[in-house]
Amino acid sequence: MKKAFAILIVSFISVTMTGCWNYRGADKMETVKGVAIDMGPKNGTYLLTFETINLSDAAGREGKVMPELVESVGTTIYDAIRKANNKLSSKLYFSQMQTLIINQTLAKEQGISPLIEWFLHDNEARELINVVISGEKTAKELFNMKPISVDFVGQEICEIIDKDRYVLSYIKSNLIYEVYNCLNRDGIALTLPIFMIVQNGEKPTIQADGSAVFKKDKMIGNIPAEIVHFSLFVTDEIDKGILTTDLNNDGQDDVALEIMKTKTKSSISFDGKKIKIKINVQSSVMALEIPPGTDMLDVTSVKKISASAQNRLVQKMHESIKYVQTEYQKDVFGFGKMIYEKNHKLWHKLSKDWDVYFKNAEVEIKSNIFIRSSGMSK
Amino acid sequence: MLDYPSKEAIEKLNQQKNRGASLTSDLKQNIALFKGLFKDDDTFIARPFNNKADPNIRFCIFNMDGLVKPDIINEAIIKPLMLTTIQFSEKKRLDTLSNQVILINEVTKTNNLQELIESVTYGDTILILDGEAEALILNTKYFQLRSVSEPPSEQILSGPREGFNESLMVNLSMIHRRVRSNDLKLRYYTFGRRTKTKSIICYMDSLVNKNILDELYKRLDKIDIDGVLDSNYISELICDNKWSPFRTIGFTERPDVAVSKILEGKIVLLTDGTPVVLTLPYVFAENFQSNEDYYLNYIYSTFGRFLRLISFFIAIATPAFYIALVAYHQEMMPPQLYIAIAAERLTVPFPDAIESFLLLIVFDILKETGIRMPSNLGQALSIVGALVIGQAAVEARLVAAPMIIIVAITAITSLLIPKINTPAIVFRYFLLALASGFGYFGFMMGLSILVIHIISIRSFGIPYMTPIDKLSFKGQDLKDTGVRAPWWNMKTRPKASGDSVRLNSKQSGGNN
Repeated sequence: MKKAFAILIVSFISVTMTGCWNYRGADKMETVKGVAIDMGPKNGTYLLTFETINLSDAAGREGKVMPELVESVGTTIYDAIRKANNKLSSKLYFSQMQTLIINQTLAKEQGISPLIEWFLHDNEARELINVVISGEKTAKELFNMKPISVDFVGQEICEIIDKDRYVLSYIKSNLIYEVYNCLNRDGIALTLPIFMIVQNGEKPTIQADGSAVFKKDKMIGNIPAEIVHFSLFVTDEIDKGILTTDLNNDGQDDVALEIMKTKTKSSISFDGKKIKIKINVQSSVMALEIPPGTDMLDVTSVKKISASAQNRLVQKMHESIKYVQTEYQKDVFGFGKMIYEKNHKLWHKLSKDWDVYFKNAEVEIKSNIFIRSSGMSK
Repeated sequence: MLDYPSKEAIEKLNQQKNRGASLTSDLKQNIALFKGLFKDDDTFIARPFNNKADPNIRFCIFNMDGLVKPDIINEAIIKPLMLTTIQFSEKKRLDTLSNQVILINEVTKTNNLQELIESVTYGDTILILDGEAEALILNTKYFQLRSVSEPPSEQILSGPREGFNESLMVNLSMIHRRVRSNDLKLRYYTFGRRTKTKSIICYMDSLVNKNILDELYKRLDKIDIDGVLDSNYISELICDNKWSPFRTIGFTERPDVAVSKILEGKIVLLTDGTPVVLTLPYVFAENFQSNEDYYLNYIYSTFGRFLRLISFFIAIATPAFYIALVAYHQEMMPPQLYIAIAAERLTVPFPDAIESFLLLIVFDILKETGIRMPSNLGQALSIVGALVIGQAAVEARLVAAPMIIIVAITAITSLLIPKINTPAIVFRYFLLALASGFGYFGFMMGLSILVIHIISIRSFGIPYMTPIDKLSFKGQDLKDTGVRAPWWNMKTRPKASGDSVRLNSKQSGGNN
C-alpha cells in the first residue's frame, strides 16, 4: 500500500513538475530554419518571414524537402510569431532554427536589442543562432534565393559561417549569445556579418560580404571583407586562410601561402597619454603557389618569400586597424576588454573616453611567418 | 521419456499402506499383493518358476515390460536360479542367492513395499523367494534413450559438442568422466510426491561454500510438489527473488559448462528426465558468458562479451530511446535526421508510441510463432514476416520506415542474449511505456529502477552484481566479467562462491 502510494506520488510529480515538454508528433510541427525581421507595413510593426520546411514531398523515394516561406505581422516579435498561426495549423517550432536575418534599416534606426530578446528567452530557440545583417533593402529577400549547397537559406548561411573559419577566415561571426555578451559589456563593439545577393553566373545567390559595425546596439556602418579578414589576425580568430604577397614588387601577387597554424599575442600599455598596442603574429604556413622555378631547398629564397609575406601581413593589419580607427572609432577588436580583464583600475580611468583613446592608439605589429612545407613535388 | 508409475498404482499403494500391507513369507500371497498393486497395468510381468534340482524352492520375479532387458533377466537371473545346485542354509537364503547365484551388479535386499514399487517402475526386477518376507531388487534397467548430441539451444563453433540427455546416469557419467577425483561429491535427492524424480547435487567438496550448500538443502527440503518434469520446476521453487524477471539460478545443457561451474566452487543440480541442469549461485555477469569464450582467443572472447553487453542495453533501450527522441526531444536530433523522421511521420496514421508498441508486439508474435510452429512451415513465416510486415507496411504507409529499423535492431540484439531474454522483454516494454509517457525523464527513471533492481537481487546470498557490486576494480576481481582475461592471468576463482574458497587455482604461466 505504501509502495503503491509512493509510485502514485512519483508519477504525479513527474508529470506536473518536470519542465514544459510534452508529447508532440514531429508531423504536427512547422519547423523553422531561419527568420528574417523587417519593418511592418504600419509604423511600429514588424514583418517576420519564416523559412520553414515543407515536408509534403519529403516522404517519397526522392525525399525532397522544400523551403516554404511564411510571413506574419505583429507589434512585437513574439506577437508576430504567434500571429503566424492565422495561416498555419501547426505551431512554429524553433529548435532547428539556425539563422536570424535582420533588416539593415531596422538595425540602424531601432537597434537590435529588442529584436533578439525573444530568441534569448524562448525555450525552443537555441543560443547558437547565427545573427546576420541583410545587405539588401529587406531581410526577407535573402530567403527568395536558391542556395547552392543545401535547400534552405537559413541553413546555408549558418554553414557558410561555420566552414569559413576552417577555409578562408573572411567572416567575423557572432552567435546570439555572443551578441548579448557584446551588448552588455564594455570595451568591445559588436560586429555582425553582412549577407547580400550577388550574381553567380546567371542565377543570383547569397554571399557573405564584410561586417556591420555597431555602436551599442545600433548599426553605424560596414567594414569591407578584406579589413575583416586582417582584423581576425589582430583578434587571433584565424584557423585557416590564404596569405598572398608580391615577391618581385611588380604589382602582381605571385605567392599564396596557406596558413596551417597562427597565433597572435597582444599586449597593451598606457603611458599616461596614449595607448600602445604591441601585436605579435606567429604563423606557420604551406607554400603551395610560388613563382615557377623557385628553389625551395634554398634557404635564401625561402626567407625571401617569408619576409615578403611578413611585410604584407604587417602592412595589411596596420591598414585594417587604421581603417577602423578613423572611420568608426569603435573598438571592434576588443582592446578595451583586454585592459578591463588585465588592469581593472586603468580601465575605469579610460572607459569614459575609450573611443578617443582607441582612435589615437599607437600600434606596433611584428610578424613571423615560418614556411613549414612546400607541398608535394609531382 | 521414462515410464513413471501410473496414478492408480500410487493410489492403490497408498491404500495398501493404509491397510498396513507388507510382504509375507507366503509366495502366493506376495504374488497376489503385487498383482493387486499393479492391477490394470498390463505391462507388469510376474514370472513364477522353481529350481530344477529342488522344485520346492520356488521363486517369482516381477518387472515392467519395456523398461528391462530380457536377455539379462534370462541369462543372469532365471538361468542361474533354475540350474543352481547350491545348498541353501535355512537362514539368510536371500543373501546366499545374492552372493553366490545371481549375476547382477547391483542387488539390494528390502521389505519396504514403497521402495520395491519405485524400483520396479524404474526398470529393476524384484525377486521374491518362497518362505521369505523380504525381496531382492536387481538392477535390470534398460531404457531407450536419445543419443548424446549437441544441444540446439547452446551450439558453438569450437569446443566439446557433447550435450546432456534425459538419463540421469548418462549425464552423471559425462561429469564424472571430466572430473576424476574423489573430491567430486554426488548426493541423491528425490523430488515429487508422485513422480519420485531422482536428482543429484554435485559439487567439489574442497571448493564449495558450505553456507550455500546448507542453504540449498534447506530450500530443497521445503519443496513439496507432486511432479518434477524439468529442472525449472525446482529452479522456480528455490530461487531468491521469485518475482524478478532475472534468473538467479543458471541452467545449461552442456557437461563442459557444468564442470566448469563445479570447478568454480558452484553447485550443479542434475534432474532425471531432463537434459537441463541447474547451476548455482548465478550472478549477472554469467548471463553474458558463453562456454566458447574459454575455448577461443581471449581477445575475440572479450569482444564477443562486449557485443553481448551492448546488445542487452540496445535490446531494452532502443525503442524507448527512439520514442523519447522523436516525440519529446526533437531538438536533440541533428537537423537532417529530424527532417527525415518528420517527413516519414507526415504520412503515417498512428503516433510514434502506438506504432512502436504495435510493431514490437508483432515482432514478439513472429518470434513465438517461429518457436511453436511445425518446422516445415518455416518458409511461410519468413515470407509473411519479411515481406508483409517489413516492406508492405511501409509502402502502404501504415508504419514509418525508421520504426521498422528500430524494431529490427531490437530484434537482432535480443536474439543475441538468449540467457537474459525475459528481463529484456519486461524492461523493453517497461522503458517504452515510461518514455512514451514522460520522455527522457521517464526513460532515465526506468533505467534507474532497472539498476536498483539488479543491485538488490541476490542468488543464495551472493549479490547478483558480484564482483562489480563492491566497486572493486582490482584486475583479479574483474577478470571474468566484462572481459575474459587470458588463462595465464586468471589466478583466482571467481568470488561468487564466497571468500572461503578463493584459492590459487591456476599455475601462473606466461610472463608472470
